[in-house]
Parts: sequence; C-alpha cells; structure tokens
Amino acid sequence: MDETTADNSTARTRRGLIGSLVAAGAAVAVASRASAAGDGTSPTTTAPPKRDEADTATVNALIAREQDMVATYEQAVGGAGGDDRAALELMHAHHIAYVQALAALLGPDSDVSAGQALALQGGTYAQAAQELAAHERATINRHVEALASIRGTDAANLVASIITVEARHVAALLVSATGTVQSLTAAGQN
Amino acid sequence: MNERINRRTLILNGGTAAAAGVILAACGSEHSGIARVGEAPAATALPEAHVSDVVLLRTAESVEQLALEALGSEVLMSKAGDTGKAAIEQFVGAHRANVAALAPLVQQHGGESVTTPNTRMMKNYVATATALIAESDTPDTDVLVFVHALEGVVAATYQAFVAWTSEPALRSAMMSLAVVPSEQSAATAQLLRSGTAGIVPGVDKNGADLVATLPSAFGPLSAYGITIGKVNESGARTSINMETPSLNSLEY
Repeated sequence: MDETTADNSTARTRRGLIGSLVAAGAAVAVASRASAAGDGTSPTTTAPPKRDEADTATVNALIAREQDMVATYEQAVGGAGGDDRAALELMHAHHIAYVQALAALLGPDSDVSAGQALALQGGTYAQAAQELAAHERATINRHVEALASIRGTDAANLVASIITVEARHVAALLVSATGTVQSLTAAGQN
Repeated sequence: MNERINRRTLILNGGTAAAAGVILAACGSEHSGIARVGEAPAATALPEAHVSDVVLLRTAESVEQLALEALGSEVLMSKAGDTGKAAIEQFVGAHRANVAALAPLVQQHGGESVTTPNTRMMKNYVATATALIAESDTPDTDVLVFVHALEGVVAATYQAFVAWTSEPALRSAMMSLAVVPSEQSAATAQLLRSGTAGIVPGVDKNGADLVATLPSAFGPLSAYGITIGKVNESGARTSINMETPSLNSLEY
C-alpha cells in the first residue's frame, strides 16, 4: 500500500465517520420531534391565521363605513374655516387612510365604491363636532363588532389600530367643542 | 511512513487514554473526597409559561389596577390643578368599570382575577414618574403629561394584545375596553393644548414637538416618552419611556 492509497483510505474513513455522525444526529432529532409530538403532553395550539378569505365581506363592510365617514367629513370641512378646518381636514385624511389600508389588506377583493355622507346638520363647529363624534362612536362600534368575527390577525391588528385613533377623534371633537372633559360622559361615553 | 505511524500511534494512545479515563470514572464513588470549592445546587428548570388568552386578560386587569393606583395616588391628586383633578376623578370611574368588565372574562377563561397593579410597570416607570411629579416646579402640567401617557399606554395595551389573542370574540371585548382610555388620553391632550389648534400636530418656536390630540392616523404601539420633574443644574428634566406590557411583565 503506497502513501497515496493510505491517505485516501484515511480520508474515506474520516468522511464516513462524519457522515455517520450527521446521519445519527439527524435520526435523533427526528425521533425526538416525533416523540414530542406524540407524547400527549406538549401543547397542541394552532396559531391564528394571518389572513383569512372568510374576512373579506366583513372588511369590505368596514371599508364602506369608512367611505361614508370620508364623505361626511368632506361635507363638514366645506363649512369650516381656520383651525377648525385644519382639524377636520386631519380627521378626513385619517378616514381616507383607513379606506386605503383596509383595501390594501384585501387587494383585488376590496370593494371601494363612493360613500354616502351621514346626517350632518350643524351650522357651527360646536354643533358639527357633536354630530361627527356620534358618527365616530357608531363607526367604532361597527369595528369592535367586526373584530368578533375577523379571524386573520393582520386584519384584526389593523382594525384595532383604527379603533384607538377613532376614539381619539371622539375626544378631540367633543373636548375642543365644549372645553370640558366631562363632555365625554355627557355625550354617552361607553 | 514515519508520519503515518505517528498519526496511528497518536490515535491509538488517545483512544487508550480515553478508555482508561472512562474506566477510572466508572470505578470512582459519587463522593470522591476530592476537595471542591462551594456546593453546586441541583439545577431547577424554569416553569414553562404560555401566553394564553387568560394571561392577557389577567395582565389587562393588572394594567387597569395600575391606572387606578397611579391616578388615585395622593401625589397626583394633590399636585393636579382643579381641571386636572376633575378629569382624574372621572377617569378613575372609567377604569373601575373596565376592571368590573374584565373580572367575569377572566373567570370564564378559568383564571383568577388580579387585584394588584402590574408590578414591573409600577416599578419601571409609574413610581419614578410619581416621585418626579412630587418634586416638580410645574406639577399640575406634569400630572397632565403623565396622565396623557398613562391613558395612552392602557389603550395601547389592549391594542397590542389583539395580536396575541387567539379568540376573535375576546379581541373584540378587549378593544371595546380600549375605547375609553384612548378617549381619556386624547381628552388630556386637549387639557395640555386646547381647542382645534391643539388637535393638529405642531412644533413650538424652538422646533420641539407640541402635544397633539391626534398625533397619528393609526394607534401606535411604541413607548410614550414623557419629560417631567424638576429642572436640574444642566437645565434638563428627566425623560421616561412608558411602555405596554412585554413578556416579562405579563401576569402568567
């Protein structure tokens, strides 16, 4: 046996050993996983889906409501001026952002048709703010109810982040119009 | 040739030494008598903790209790101005209502209600903030700054938990409880910067951000940074980050 042959033989042996170890390790890992899955003691929780096609109708209904809010704020902005107008324009922009975000969630399945303005009679900012706050609360309630049936976590997280800011809209409208925090309860806080 | 012999000898000797070591170890008693420094206690594995729906509900209870404890503290009530005090009294009532709403949910999910404030959040920033307000030169404003952030954190807690909650109905229930703290946070922002001008984000003459009732279109989950307390020798005040509960502050 010459030196070259001996070296090859050594290399083959070393390679074989490493290969055997890797194979043994893999076998142990597979056996361990199989054992853990079948021993009945490990938690068998299933993570909620990130997206669920069953949510499409619910999310489209929320888009329609947000479109109504966009149309309502368009009307309110038209009758306001100065800081009042700037504040209403900001809330209007928020509702447009909600429509866009919810529609983006559904992609081609989204139904973004023009909304209808909700009832708004107030002539002054204070009067309009009271009515807008009532519409905001009704919108929040729809979102909260929708969450009870939304399965996908992406949609649920988005709707939750909309709810917290729409609640801020309510306070912004009521307290800026009346100057008191007590207006929150006077207007029927949850 | 020499090299090959040396390698083989090395492997052979190494194998012999290892085998001898194994035999010696097997022959030895458990208490060998060999001197050793200190006693190594038996390792105890940490208990497994799962973030279940009931854990989130219990944590929400602890955060509501935290709000009650902080808002009802002697420091806040004594340092707040008349408007702030009236607002706080109203807010306390709302948090009591949330606690009452959470209790049956916790029971339905087989948990035990939490009746004490969240320990880590209290230790991490509420206790510090309260102490800073106590010695502040502008305590009435600092109270409002703190309450604005605290109410925001309570609302953001429910929002953050939506991602972790597995049951859709429970997500809905939690977010129904987030509405009032969120309104209260915004109402407090109005007390700091009132009127419709205060709704829109803005900056002061130095370019620093002003408190805004509507700082963003979507509810953030980032920390509320507040700067309160007495001005130090350098002209600075203490900044605190108020955050929603994380894995180490949940009520397991």
